[in-house]
Amino acid sequence: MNRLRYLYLILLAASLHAQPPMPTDSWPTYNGDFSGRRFSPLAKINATNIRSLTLSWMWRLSASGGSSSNIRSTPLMTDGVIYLSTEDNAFAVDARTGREIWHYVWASSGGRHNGNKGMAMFGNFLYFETGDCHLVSLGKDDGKLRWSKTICDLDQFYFASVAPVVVGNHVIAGVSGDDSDVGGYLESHDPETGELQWRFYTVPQKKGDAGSETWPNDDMSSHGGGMTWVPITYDPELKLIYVTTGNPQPVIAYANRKGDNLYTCSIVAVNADTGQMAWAFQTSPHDTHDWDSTQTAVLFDGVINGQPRKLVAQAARNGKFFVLDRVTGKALVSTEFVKTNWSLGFDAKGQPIPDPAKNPSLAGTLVSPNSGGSTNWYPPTFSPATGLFYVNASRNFGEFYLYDGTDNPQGWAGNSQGGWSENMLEALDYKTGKVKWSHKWEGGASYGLLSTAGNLIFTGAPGGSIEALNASTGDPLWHARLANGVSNSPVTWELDGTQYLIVGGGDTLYAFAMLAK
Amino acid sequence: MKRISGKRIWATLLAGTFFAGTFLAGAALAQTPRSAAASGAQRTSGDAIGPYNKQIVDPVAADRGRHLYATECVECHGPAARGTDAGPNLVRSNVVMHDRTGSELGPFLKKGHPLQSKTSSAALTTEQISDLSHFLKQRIDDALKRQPMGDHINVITGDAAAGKAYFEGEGKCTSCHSLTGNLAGIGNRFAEPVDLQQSILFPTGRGRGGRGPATAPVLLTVTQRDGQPIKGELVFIDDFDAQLRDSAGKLRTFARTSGTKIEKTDPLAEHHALLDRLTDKNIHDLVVYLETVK
Repeated sequence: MNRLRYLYLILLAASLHAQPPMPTDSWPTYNGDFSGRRFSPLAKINATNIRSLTLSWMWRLSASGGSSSNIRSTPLMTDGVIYLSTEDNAFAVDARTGREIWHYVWASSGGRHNGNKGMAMFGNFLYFETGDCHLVSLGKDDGKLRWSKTICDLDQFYFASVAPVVVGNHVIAGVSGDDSDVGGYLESHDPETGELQWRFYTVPQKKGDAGSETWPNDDMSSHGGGMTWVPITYDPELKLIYVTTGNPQPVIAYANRKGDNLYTCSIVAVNADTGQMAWAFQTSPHDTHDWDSTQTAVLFDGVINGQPRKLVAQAARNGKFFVLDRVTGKALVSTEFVKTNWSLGFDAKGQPIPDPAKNPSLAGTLVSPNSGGSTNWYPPTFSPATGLFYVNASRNFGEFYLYDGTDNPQGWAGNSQGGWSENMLEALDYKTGKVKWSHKWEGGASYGLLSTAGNLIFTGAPGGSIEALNASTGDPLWHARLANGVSNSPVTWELDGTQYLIVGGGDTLYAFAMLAK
Repeated sequence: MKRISGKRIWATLLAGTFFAGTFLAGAALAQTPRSAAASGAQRTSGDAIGPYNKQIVDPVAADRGRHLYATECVECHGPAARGTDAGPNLVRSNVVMHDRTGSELGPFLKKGHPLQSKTSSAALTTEQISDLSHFLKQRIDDALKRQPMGDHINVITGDAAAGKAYFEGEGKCTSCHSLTGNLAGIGNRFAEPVDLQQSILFPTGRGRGGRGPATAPVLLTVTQRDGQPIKGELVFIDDFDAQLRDSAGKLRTFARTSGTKIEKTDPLAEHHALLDRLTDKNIHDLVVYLETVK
């Protein structure tokens, strides 16, 4: 084959499979790349040799306070240095030895501290959010503060915890808050200066705004929730950010927010340069069960009904699984990944139709899933090698009570109580949404996932282990019991020819490797 | 939202039945709080939310503020300060949310704002404004997650006869339960009917507050390649190991290898399966019926 022709074929293949593989010598974003697949092409650790995986080092962080000493975040790594955040704290750790390089502490002025999800990096700069509503930038080499910007209002009971993601010349930052009725948004900041570039509101601010027809009035829509507390994914070709949005407010009570309540509980495509919405798909119209749709929107390319497509998939907290065309937002697959009892099928757009009989009530309504959902914030994974979408799932029940029967409830005004659950790791065929295999856990499994070309799925497991399963069959292959169990999502990279598996458990980061040469 | 008669609200406010969520509706005006915890903002959230320098409500000042509010503000802003057609929602007001004992509210009111008495708000004293601030902050607290509004209003709505019929018939409850045996006096055992309801649905650990009937432990039966089945109470199980305590009290651990068969027997399996069959009516009927078992 002549050289030009070979080059042409390579380029053609690249355009058909536009998604570059995740880097193997670093972990530069929350999900390892922009796609949210959490699939590593590394295969040195694989289904045949995993039983010789062993502990290389462990590092225990020093920070005061419960949430500050619990690793919820996904660490970043580049040039042999790990960057890790917990609430109000950031650390640099040597990736070869597990020795701390620097430690930065933010002096907090309050806010809810429920688990910082990680950092973003851009050149020599790092970014993370704080519980008291700041976006903070540090120098990568010295951990010194460069600048901080207020991104939300503590007095309105917002807080901030999501891992920012840098796309192009934009630091994309989301906000949290459901204690009071406030509206959600996503912000873009200049990576150099921190200046605000744009703000995209997830709920209409005034009559006439897109989606305002799905709310009774401006007051309800502009205070209508839709928080952006799970990291975005991004398609650089389309220049589209995929942000998933939280539940409407009031959370459980609904008398004063009749309508679909757009764009809460939605997957929303937003132009990265302008902050303008391209399309939206609502996974829970008029949610009344606290089912944020803030599960990662996973981007991959595939073939559905014989047609190659750019896809986005989500296993949503409400128990439904969606595969959409990520160019248009059109649903290609809408199904359930666990049995639920709250909906009457799907409408013509592929969105679920809520059953009004399963709204919360004064005397209690038995609903599956409970408010914790069929899954939650913890990341799923998609393996292009198996074509399977993996999610830690839960089939559970809660009794949903209204605490305010008036026509103007505020805040939550209700709750879901009690619970019984069965929990499983599920592998879904993205072409149909059908469960290919399901591995039943012996307890709750609120853990993020990693898949690798070694035909492995890594996850935390009930009983306190980090565990590996066969990606094709779901058979458990390997585990190591940690002191406090897994508290974040495992990641992997290669350093000096050795593949490492890195996972956080409480206040300790563990690195596993195949050390025998 | 309709404006509400000022006199009626006044009477409600002064009666101290300040149960913000329910007294907007006329029919609910007579309802009294179920417990002291529901009656005011003394109950504080266990969560650290909002800024560290947030205003802590002084209930005595808030009570003075309530009288002032009822005299001067309630007709437009509504009894729970959540607004009416005539005036905005103050629970969501940025002036109120950013206020600290009058720091924002003071300058706003000093500019002159219509009051019910037709006097000028500019004449309000610093103390009066601070009292109003405490009252309004108390209303914000009412609306927050896990705040005084977090109480069940009424789960007793079902039909006792239908509950009895379900208990003895379709529900097959009598195959394990008896009203003179393990459910004797069940209607007296729980602090609130909602606890009984929760215990029917989720009985693990003897239900809410541990007041339900005793339940047998989860059992494990381990059969190794050539051995006899070994039975005991489940202590620990994951994908790789299982632990049980045998009848002699000895803790035994087994690796879950291909030659080892492990069976788990959950005595509450029928209760869990019931979650797929129970209708909401069944649940509400059962609660009312079992509440009668004193």
